[in-house]
Parts: sequence; C-alpha cells; structure tokens
Amino acid sequence: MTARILIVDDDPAICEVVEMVLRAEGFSTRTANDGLTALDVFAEYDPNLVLLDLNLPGLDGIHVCERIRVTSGTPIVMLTARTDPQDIIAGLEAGADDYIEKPFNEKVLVARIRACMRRPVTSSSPELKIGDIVVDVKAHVVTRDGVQISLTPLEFELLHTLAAHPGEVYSREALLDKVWGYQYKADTRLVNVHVQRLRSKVELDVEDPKIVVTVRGVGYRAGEPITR
Amino acid sequence: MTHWLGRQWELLLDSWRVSLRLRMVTISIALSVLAVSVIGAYMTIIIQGNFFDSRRDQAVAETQSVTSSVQALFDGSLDSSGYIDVEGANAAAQTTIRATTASPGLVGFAILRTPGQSTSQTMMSTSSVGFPLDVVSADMRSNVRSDDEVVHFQPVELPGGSPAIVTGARVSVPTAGVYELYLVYDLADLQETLQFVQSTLVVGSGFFVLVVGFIVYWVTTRSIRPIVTTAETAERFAAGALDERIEVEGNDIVAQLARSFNKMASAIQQQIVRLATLSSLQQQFVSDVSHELRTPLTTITITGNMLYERRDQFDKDAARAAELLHEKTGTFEHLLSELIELSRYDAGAASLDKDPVVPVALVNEAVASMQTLADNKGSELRVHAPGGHSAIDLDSRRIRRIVTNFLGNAIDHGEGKPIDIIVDSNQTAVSIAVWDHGIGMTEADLTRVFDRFWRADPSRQRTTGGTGLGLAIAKGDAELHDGVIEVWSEPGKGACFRLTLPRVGAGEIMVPPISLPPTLPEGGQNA
Repeated sequence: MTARILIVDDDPAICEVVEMVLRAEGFSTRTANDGLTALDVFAEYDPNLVLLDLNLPGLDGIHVCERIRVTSGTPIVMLTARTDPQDIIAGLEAGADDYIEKPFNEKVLVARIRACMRRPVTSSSPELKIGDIVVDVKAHVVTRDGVQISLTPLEFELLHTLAAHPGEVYSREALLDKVWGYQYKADTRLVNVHVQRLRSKVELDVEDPKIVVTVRGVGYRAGEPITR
Repeated sequence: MTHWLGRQWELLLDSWRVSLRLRMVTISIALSVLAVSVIGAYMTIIIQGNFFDSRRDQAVAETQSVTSSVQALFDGSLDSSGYIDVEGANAAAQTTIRATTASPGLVGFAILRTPGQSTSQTMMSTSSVGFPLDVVSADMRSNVRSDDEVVHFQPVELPGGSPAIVTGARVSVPTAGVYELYLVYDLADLQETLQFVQSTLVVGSGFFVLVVGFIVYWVTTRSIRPIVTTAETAERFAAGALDERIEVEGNDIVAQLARSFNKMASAIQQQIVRLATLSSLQQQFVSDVSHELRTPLTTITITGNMLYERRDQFDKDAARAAELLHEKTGTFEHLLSELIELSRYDAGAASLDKDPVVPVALVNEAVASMQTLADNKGSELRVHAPGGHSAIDLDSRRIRRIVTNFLGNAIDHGEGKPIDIIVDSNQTAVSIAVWDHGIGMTEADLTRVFDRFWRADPSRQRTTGGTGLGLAIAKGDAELHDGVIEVWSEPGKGACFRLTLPRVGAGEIMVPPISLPPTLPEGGQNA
C-alpha cells in the first residue's frame, strides 16, 4: 500500500514539482493551496504525512497544524521560507514534527519524509515504567493511574526511547538519530521543542520534571520509576 | 598606621574631586577664616592702640597735675630764712601725690634725686612701698632730666609680667636741687579688657565662619540640584531612554538650561528614530526579498536537478545548459543563504546556540571537511595545537563556519603551498589562526578584506565557490561571540587570519595567545 502525502503550499508550482518528485519515489499525493482547503483534504484523504507551508492565505500554517493536532498525530513536516528561530519554534510548538527550510532539494525532502514515516519501534518489553506513568508499547498507549494520556506518534517514540533504557543519558544528537532517524547533523532545537511539548502532557509539574529529566550540558534521561 | 592614613587621604582626595559641594564649602570657609582673621587682627590693633592712648593721656595729664602740685608745694615750703625742711616737704609731697592721683592702676610713685649735683641741702630719694625701681630705665631718666617742660612716658613691663606705663617729670626743690618724679601705672586691667574683646571676636568670628559654611552649603545644594537633574537625565538619555526630558520651572538661567537640553534631546531623538526607521525598513526589505526568493528558488532547484539527472537524454547543448543551470542554482542558493545570514546580523536578530566545544576537535573536523579541496590544490594542511584542548562554550556551527571560511580562502590563495593551522589558548582567550604561504595581500587589500562582495583578485579562479560574503559573515559570527578576527599579510609572504574568542565573560580584555604573524610551535602534526 502506497503512503499518502498531503502537500500544502500557496505556490502551485512548488506543489506540482514536489508531487512530481514524490510520485517518482512511489508516494501517492494530494495538494492544497490554502489552509481551509488543506483541512478539508486532510479529513477526506487521511494522509500518512503532511508537508505544510507556514505562509498560507486564509488560515495560516500554524493554525492548520494546531487544528490537525486536535484530532490526529499524523506526522507534519513544515516547509518554511522564514528561517528566523522564533518562526521555526512557533511551528514546532504548534505540533509539527520536523521542518525543512526552503530552498531544499528533492534528496533532502525524500530523506526527511522517509525518516518521519519509518520511526523505529524497538520494543524490548511490552510494558515500560517511567516515573509514575506506564508506557504500553504494543498498544501505543501511555497511562497515569489508568488514565490515558494522548500523545502524537513522535512524542510516543521520544518517551519510548527514553523509557527503554532507564538511567541512560541521551544527547540531543543521539535522540535526533534514534527518534527522528537523522544520521546527519540536524537542528537540536527540534529535540528541545518536542521535549517541552511532551513534558506539558506527561509532567505533573512542568517546572520540576520527573518523567523527562534534563541532564545539564549532556541531554535527557528517563525519570526513576515510581510505584504508587 | 601610615597605610591607614594614606587610605583616608585617598578617600578624602576622591570626595574632593567628586563633590562640588565639598569644594565650595571648604573654599568659602577657608576664605572667610582668612577674612575674619585679618579683620580681627586689625580690630585688635586699633582697640589696643585706642585703649593705650587714652590711658597714657590720662596718666600724662595726671602726672602733669601732680607735678604742678608738688612743684607748688616745694616752692611754698621755703621759709623766710631761705631754707627748706626737706624731709617735711618730702612727706607733704607724698601726701599731695596720694591725694591728687585718682587714676586706676597706680602702682606707686618715686621722687628721685637727679644724680651728679651738689646743693646746700639734700632731700633723700623716696618711693612708695613696692615701687618697681627697675622699670624706670636710664634712657627714661635722662630724657626726664633733659627736659623741664614735658611729662615723659614709656611703656614697660612690671616684674609680675603685666604691662604698665611709667611717666616721669622734673621738679626742682629749692636749695636741694633737681628731682625727678616717677609714677607707674599698671595696665593689667587694660590687658584683661583686651583679652575679653579678643575672645569675643574669636567666638563671634567662629560663629560667622560656621554660618558662612552653612549658607554656602545650602546655596550650592540648591543651585547644583538642576545640574544634578540634568546630569542624571543626560545619563538616562545616553543609556537609551530617548523619552527622558527635564521638567522646566520658571524662567531663569536654570530653566534655560533645561529647555536647551530638552530641545537637544528632541532633535537627537527625531534623528535617531528617523534613521532607525529607515534602516529597519531597508533591512526588512532585504529580508523580505531574500525570503520571497526562496519558494521559487526551491522550484528552480528541484526542476533544475531533474533536468540535470536526465542530461544524457538531451542533445549536447541542452545537456550543457542543464549542467550550467544546476551549477549556478547551487551558487544562487549559497549566495541567498549568506545574504539572509547578513540581514540577520544587520537586524540584530542573530542568536547564539552555545554548547561546550573543544576548539581543537572543532578545528580538526573543519580541516577534515576541507581536506579534499586542499589535496586538489596540492596544499598540505598542518595543524599545530599547543593549546585549546579544554572545552569552552561556543556556537559550534558558527565557529566551524569561520574556520572553514579561513581554510577556503587559504586554499584559494595558497598557491599549493602548505597551510599552517594553529590553535592555542591562555587564561583569557582562545585563538585559531590559519596561515597560508601564498601570494599574500597588499595594504590596500587588507583594509577591504572584510567588505561585502569584495574579492582579493577577481581574475583568479576560485575552487570554493566564494561569494565574497564569507569574511563579512565570519566577522559577524566572531562579534556575536564577543570575539575578533584580525588579519596579517604581506605580498609574497602569505596571509594569516586569526580568530580570538574570550574564555571568560564578555568585556574582558583578551590577550591573543597567538602572535601575528605566528611563530610556529615545534612538532606540528599533520591532519
């Protein structure tokens, strides 16, 4: 079954050329040129991945991203012409998994898409404990005291990677490699922003994290399992 | 102890230099002390003179009258036989003297026979009890002897130390010859009065000086207040609070100062705002243009790549066109990303992403990435690293970009000769220097080397695809780290670019651990 990709950009030319590239790689694609259309097509097409330009007429990319995240954890990759750090961080905070700066070439695009879609699921044991929450690897469900916490696939993978090796400290680069599947130097802000998003969902007190613990100057590790 | 005193003195000197008020008060107190002293001394002298003169006049007048009385007494005591009872007359004269003198402070009197005369009778010299004969000097006596008419006087000092005046006049005793009458007046009371006047003057003057000090303090405080306000406002204005103004009260010179200051501030503010607006408009434009180009450039890049991939299906000319398109799209992309980077510096929007990094490791990475280019040109890359082995906080992406840029330039202009890369550190700084031994640059080149789009020699073939923006970006990256890039070059001796980064906080004075041109350490290793 071919993976479906939704391409959202206000410039029809770039949509067309990206479609050409992705179809050549064996993906099936749909395009949308504005935010509202994008949401409609998303609902109807149910893509495996969304390429989303942030600069859209009508509803802008940040809002589209937020709306999609309300109902779905589908991987979203931002396409951005604005490279100021605050623009990128705003996009990641709205729920995008990754971003690609324009101008990009087709090889980078395809590599990133493939990385996003084959997130490794290296399950060691069916159930992992991290802090006071339980990660059910098989069912892809995270619970605290039996109450389910809703995570995007990327966030689940981040938490899973940390929980699978309790006590091990992961550098941001190592997490980029393991979770995002990037073999090359990418932007470690991706990790920072997603850790913040994950914490806002799983931590009781974001100011004093017990699940995803920062190790200063090195990276992150899983919190000690707590039995209650 | 002397150390402590020295410090106190230093402190005092400091406050002297700093405090206008202290200076004003001190100077005015010093001047009024001087004035009061002069006035006091003058007054003392005048009063003393007056007192003395009046007492002298009194004493002289009294002596005059005593002398006439005594003379009359002696003249009248001559009996019909032409003799005189000298001792009786003497006693009577003493009684007369006691009766006629009324002035305060009379110590005593003496009737002394003028020596060296022979007369039929002799009256014994007499003096009242306790008369200080010593105070009547020989000078005084000879003056009195020589003059019949006048009462003589002389200021003297009594054996007890108090001031006194001695008066003397000549009397003649019939048959017994010439005698001298001396009266001594004690002026101790005068002295006391004078001392009282003096102490009153001193107390009064002291009080006056204090009052002057207070007045000056108050006046200075009042009059420097607007200056202090102005100075503080100017400080805040200079610190960037462009809306700061002084409140204007009244219409005097102080208000004039405030108004002028405010006028100046408004003018400066207008200029700054105008320039800032212009500059931000321009920066915004550059930034917008750069970003607007990115979406179409993406399409061009990808379509260009597609054509390039299929160039072997085209005829010869179309294939070459695809190649050129591919190549130049890369250059265009590179140029655009550098322009965007520069527009970030211009807008002050560039931010640092610092991590602990070992400089030597970073340099080795950069050297490895440029190795192929260097090999193509035949330049050997030699890394010397006497220092820089401990990690410092820096944005590795930016610093690697600087080093890569240095290396690219060195390879381009190194004429295939070896290139020395030196990393060293000291207490304050870490330096990375890249030294090629190629054609070098002239003085004129050196002044322009950091200019945008400037290239050393446009006719030379470039291997690293330089845009002419590399060093401008490197300079921006270094400045973000509070570091500096310096360059040394001489035609024919190559060029050395040195990056120096502070190890500690910004604003510290850095001593670059590598000199320009560098002295190569022994035993350099090959990368």
